[in-house]
Amino acid sequence: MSDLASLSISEIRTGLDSKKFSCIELTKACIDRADRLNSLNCFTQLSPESAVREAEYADTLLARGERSNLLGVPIGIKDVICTKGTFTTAGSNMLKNFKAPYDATVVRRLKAAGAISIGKLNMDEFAMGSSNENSAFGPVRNPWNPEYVPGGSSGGSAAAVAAKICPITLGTDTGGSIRQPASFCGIVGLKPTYGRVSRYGVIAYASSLDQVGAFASNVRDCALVTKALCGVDVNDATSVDKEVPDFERVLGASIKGLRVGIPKEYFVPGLDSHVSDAVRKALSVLEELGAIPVEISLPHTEAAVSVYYILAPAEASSNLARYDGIRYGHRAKGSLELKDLYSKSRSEGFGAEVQRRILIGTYVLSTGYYDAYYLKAQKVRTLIAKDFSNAFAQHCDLIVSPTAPTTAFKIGEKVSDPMQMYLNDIFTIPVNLAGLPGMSIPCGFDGKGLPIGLQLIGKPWDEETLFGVASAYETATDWHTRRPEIAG
Amino acid sequence: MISEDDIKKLASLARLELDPAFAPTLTEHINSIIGYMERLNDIDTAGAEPMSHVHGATNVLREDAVQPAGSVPDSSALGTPTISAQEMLPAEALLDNVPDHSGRFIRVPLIVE
Repeated sequence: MSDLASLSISEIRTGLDSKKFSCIELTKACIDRADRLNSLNCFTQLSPESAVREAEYADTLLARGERSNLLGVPIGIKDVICTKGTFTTAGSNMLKNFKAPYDATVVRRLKAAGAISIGKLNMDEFAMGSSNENSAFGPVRNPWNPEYVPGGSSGGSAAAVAAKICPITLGTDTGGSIRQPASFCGIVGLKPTYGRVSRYGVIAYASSLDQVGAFASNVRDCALVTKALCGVDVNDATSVDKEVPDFERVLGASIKGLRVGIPKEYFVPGLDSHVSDAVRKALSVLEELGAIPVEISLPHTEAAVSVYYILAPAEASSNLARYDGIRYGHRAKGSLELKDLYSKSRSEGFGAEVQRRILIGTYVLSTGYYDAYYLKAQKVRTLIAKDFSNAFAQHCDLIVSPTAPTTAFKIGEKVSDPMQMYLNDIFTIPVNLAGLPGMSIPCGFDGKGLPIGLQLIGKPWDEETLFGVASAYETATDWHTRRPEIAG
Repeated sequence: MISEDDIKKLASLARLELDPAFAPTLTEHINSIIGYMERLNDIDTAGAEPMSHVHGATNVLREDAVQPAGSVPDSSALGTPTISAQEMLPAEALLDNVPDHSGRFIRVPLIVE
């Protein structure tokens, strides 16, 4: 039965709807597999009991003849997204014992669509990291080679899908935290346009950048789940009331005549040659399918990492001020004065990277430095967004680039040099700064057998073009069918 | 150049207690990060408005009306997600997460002598 865990949504649909297997059998297969691949450390917590209960209910509905895309489909949820009744830790000791009193809107939407949550996924603490080494629950391992990182911050979400533990997982992406791990793990991951998906019930990191999205092992599955996630929410003032297209409709459509922008600033020294070759080959596949490659320039690309590591920590230092040890979260022991209670609770609760970002954020917002750093970064952010809008207005319908400059690196390799770690996000960060939709799809392997990701960047609200191009590319190639040895 | 003393001051502002053994490395890392950011000074931003939000978000307002504390809505398979109204959580649901409380009161250190 364990092979059930590796089915796609359409295979699950056929199996459940024709009673070849039950939702209980499917759910148990996923949980068994998660248990067996425990050494990858994908989950902070499995919820076998509630999952089986939800699966029983799904089986009743199926028996009654109910049918819908996600009915009975097992999913995993990044542990930064609130789920009622189970722990929501954000990968932090600060929230080790925190039980959210309600489900996040995205969780409600998926449950309302019939999905079964099997557990919460490991991540970099408070979504701060590019390797999943910053988790209070230990690093996640890459299913393609357990000595390597799965990427971050949604490392558990990407590794669980790559290891075929469940077909769908949710992640969040502030500077690349969906796309980079999707790239490192050889799967599909989409960060929708800023404002597309509600963040009600999602623990905040940098609110002007955070967005929720889905991981899947193929483009169609990702499209189905994304459709279920999107839409305005009265409980999130930054969600936007835009019609949600039927992303499934564009799958398989011709991409003839579509102009594909190739930013010259993304092909620079420091880009791994395997990555560069794979992306160039992917571009020629798109050209064979009728797309027209156009070289474009995004002149402010190099500034994006600086802008991000000013703005995101600034927002984080403010968002994380709420963890005071009083209302929820870790509280230091002993009878302490108020200020010491705050400081002790926060220092005991937060890990090193989170503390570092709070300090950077405090610095760039402090009197005397605000204009030089924070305000300057906000202005350069405008220029970065303009680079994209100019390119889309004049030259291209979407932009294609590598997702990350390298493939996965070894666990421990970059921990001693945070700046090197930050530079890993160089191609994903600009997309968040401009609020655009971005997707990573598998496009090859390096000499060590580690996956390479292709990033597709769209106009605001144009996820459709990304799904269309990704689906055309997927049909013409077989990268998405490869699976790590560990996934049998 | 940010000194170790500056870092200590920042930590105090951010209500963090620095581990003295960790302070030198932290100072070095933060200097290398801030140093990298200084290249922004080379970019001409004359005429560029600071961006705080990509879509130019506006305030979303509602009537300031008293609402009864409800029960936490349960999500269930194939239901309609309850996201039509601002929800009120019952106090009990929130008190479960309070590290130190007495009944409905949160216990804090003495603030006013």
